[in-house]
Amino acid sequence: MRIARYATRRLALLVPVLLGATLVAFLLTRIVPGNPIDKVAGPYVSVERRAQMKHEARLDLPIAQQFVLYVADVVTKGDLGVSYTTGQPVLNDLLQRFPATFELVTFGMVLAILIAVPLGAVSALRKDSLGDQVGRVLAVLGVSIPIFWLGLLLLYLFFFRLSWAPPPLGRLPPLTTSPPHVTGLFTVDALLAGQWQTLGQALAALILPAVTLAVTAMAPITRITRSSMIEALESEFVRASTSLGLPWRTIVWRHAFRNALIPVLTMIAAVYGFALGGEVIVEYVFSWPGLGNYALNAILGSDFPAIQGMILLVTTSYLVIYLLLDLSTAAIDPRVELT
Amino acid sequence: MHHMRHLLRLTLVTALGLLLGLAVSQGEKVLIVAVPGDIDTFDPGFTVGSKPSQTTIQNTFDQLTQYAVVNRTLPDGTPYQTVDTSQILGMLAESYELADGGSTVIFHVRPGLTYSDGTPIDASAVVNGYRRIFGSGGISVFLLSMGGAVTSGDAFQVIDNLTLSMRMSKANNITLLNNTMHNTSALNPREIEAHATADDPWATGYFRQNLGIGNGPFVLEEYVPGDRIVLRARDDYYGDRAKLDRVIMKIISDPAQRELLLRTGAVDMVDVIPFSAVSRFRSDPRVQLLSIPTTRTNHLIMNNAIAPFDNQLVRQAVNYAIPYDLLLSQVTFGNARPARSPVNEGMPSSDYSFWHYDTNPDRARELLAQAGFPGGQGLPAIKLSVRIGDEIDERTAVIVQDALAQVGMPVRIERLAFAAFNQLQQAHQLQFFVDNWISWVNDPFYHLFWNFYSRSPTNYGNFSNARVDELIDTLLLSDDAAARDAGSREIQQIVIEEAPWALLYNPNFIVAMRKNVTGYVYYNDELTRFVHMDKN
Repeated sequence: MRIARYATRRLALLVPVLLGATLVAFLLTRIVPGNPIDKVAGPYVSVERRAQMKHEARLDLPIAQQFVLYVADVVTKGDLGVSYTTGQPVLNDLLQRFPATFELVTFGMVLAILIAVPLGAVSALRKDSLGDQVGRVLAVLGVSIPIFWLGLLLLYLFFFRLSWAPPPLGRLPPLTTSPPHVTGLFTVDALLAGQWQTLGQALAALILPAVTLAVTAMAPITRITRSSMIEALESEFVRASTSLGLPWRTIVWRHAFRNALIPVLTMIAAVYGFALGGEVIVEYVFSWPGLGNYALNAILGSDFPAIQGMILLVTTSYLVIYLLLDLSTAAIDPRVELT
Repeated sequence: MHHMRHLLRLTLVTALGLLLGLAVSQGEKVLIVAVPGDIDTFDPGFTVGSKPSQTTIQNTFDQLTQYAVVNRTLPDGTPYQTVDTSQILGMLAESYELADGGSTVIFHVRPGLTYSDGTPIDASAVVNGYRRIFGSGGISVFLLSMGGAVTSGDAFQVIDNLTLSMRMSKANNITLLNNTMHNTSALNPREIEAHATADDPWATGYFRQNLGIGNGPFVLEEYVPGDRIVLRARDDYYGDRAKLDRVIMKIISDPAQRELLLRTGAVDMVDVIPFSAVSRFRSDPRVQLLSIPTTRTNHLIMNNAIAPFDNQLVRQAVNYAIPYDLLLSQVTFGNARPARSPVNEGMPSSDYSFWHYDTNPDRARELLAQAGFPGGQGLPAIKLSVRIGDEIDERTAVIVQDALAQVGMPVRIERLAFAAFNQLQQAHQLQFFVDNWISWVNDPFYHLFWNFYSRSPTNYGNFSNARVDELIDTLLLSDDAAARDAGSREIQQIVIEEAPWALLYNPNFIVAMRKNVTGYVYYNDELTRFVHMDKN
């Protein structure tokens, strides 16, 4: 009950935050040179028709008025406008592409967490050992390897040279039809429909891009796990527990690790939110039909409605992720009160 | 243990499924094409930028007429197929003839044609299609109304059930050429009616987002935005059924991936190959590559209304400073021909005899001094604008910058995002920029009108010459072949002398396919017609 009330209040915060984000998006898109009408109309359309198109897109109005009308459309009709780069309603575009990005980023993050958290914890326990050094080198590499280079390298090795991975043709091979739409996540939908072949293909297509994403996401998570674990291990309550003669295993995992986890969760949330905002490079390299490619084209084409829609979506997902973060922090840390 | 068994079962099922999938797809001929971009509109009247949009429409809609396909040979001796734009044959119309001294065209629609939903295609459906083009103010209006030839939907009349007429302001041969393009496709009248609204009587909102029910050799089977466009051959097509059963246009943004995918055989054909990749394809025995000469030009446009390019001597100096051979070898890697006239080789009346700008830095310095800028002193700031991410243009800009610096003309390269570049270009406000152009209609006056007519919307360099305007005014719409030929040569001479552009080269069009793909035909609009193609 308390949690529900807290969540509702937090979600209500979405309104002013989204308004602010939209306003910033509005101003930024309109300050940068270039407008979508020139792209859609091309040079051949008459001056009158161009003016009419501008009018229909409300681009002839003052920015303040455009903003108010846009917000009114979003609130009353759920209408985010029509994209100039795809010709489709922005809402459809986003709903279509979000699952692709969500599936990829989630797989990548799970992979990163499964490797990074134990690696960081072990590094902390065996500080300055060979394992710790290796872990630190890996973390530095993760931060410093350019992601497009890593993607291309993995493709070259595992697809072009060894033929272990499927070609980078997006989420499924071209001849496979998508599983019946339930969640939009192909792995889940294929599982629900019992299409094992499609499931296998969807997983195979996910491996290389997810690994690429995981390598870069791993680095900050490993580092924060290591440092906060070291801090916890050196803290007074651990020393007290040790002197009380508690078993080392219990001290490490029940007390130190649980305390160390809070900054780790915060870091995971930040990395996750960032990746959901469109993993542009990974999507570009692997021809992944997600939000990153969409956002890239929208920005290059000054596609105002699409850019605004993207910003609304990214802001919302950040807020939801941070809400989940706060709820899990409260579950782990009894000192945190949900008020 | 139980888990192991489950995993094994899963693996077996997957393997079996893969085999089955392979067996099924072997019976079907599927061509997979890697394309760089996505659909931006499905409305044939409004396509501008997206090649996948245009290709999808071209393969699902037929027009009244089409060009004849002919066999030719590439400079390296390879045979290939292209079109002869001087031969216009029937398509939806089984025949056509000129009347009223050539100012009216009478089209005879093939009997028994239907859209893929069964709606009959008769003269009124076709006329309705043209009325829609004019009613909705689409791109095709600008094409059909060139020179004032056809300016309203009323120019099209139903004569009887299968006969219609197109009345032009005077006899000419450019309107018929314009009329072969995909932009003139007639949408299904029942479908237009079903989606029309009071504000939008021609359903432009609907057709922007949805491909119309077509009448061409393919139908759109599936469109997954950002991912793929799937076409399926129509069994009930009135012409020869396509040999391919399906065509999958797979969107692959990264050129390096397109190359990799073709070389491994994951795709059968790649649209848009960077020049730098050509030699790698040539050395790959599994891939065939066609490097086809075209009438496209890559050029620098100097804005004749902005200093210092308002001075003809400066523009000529730039023409003398360009290292043409270097551009051919370092930018196109030999996949281009020298351009020596605004009307390119391959276009009727092309004449390279007026050219005199072979690379000559000394002459460039002299001209710059004559223009009042000895050693570049007193020159205003010059920005050479390029589109970010265009590999060819960026390389060209660097080479040009270097060559101009050597003759005492410093320029700064300005890299602009596509939208910003586009906005400035369409406002005719770019000072100096790298651009390219291909005329979809292989006619010198079509080409000269768009690029060098003072009131043309695409005369981005603000070139203006009264004599050129006069010749275009009188000859754009004319069926006097001798006068057009002479007029075109006169314009070529004037344009070369006044040098509004610096012509760099005519790039080849590059198609790369797996060895087992046959039947590619090059059209001037550079859109692939899959109906001719096959895969063995």
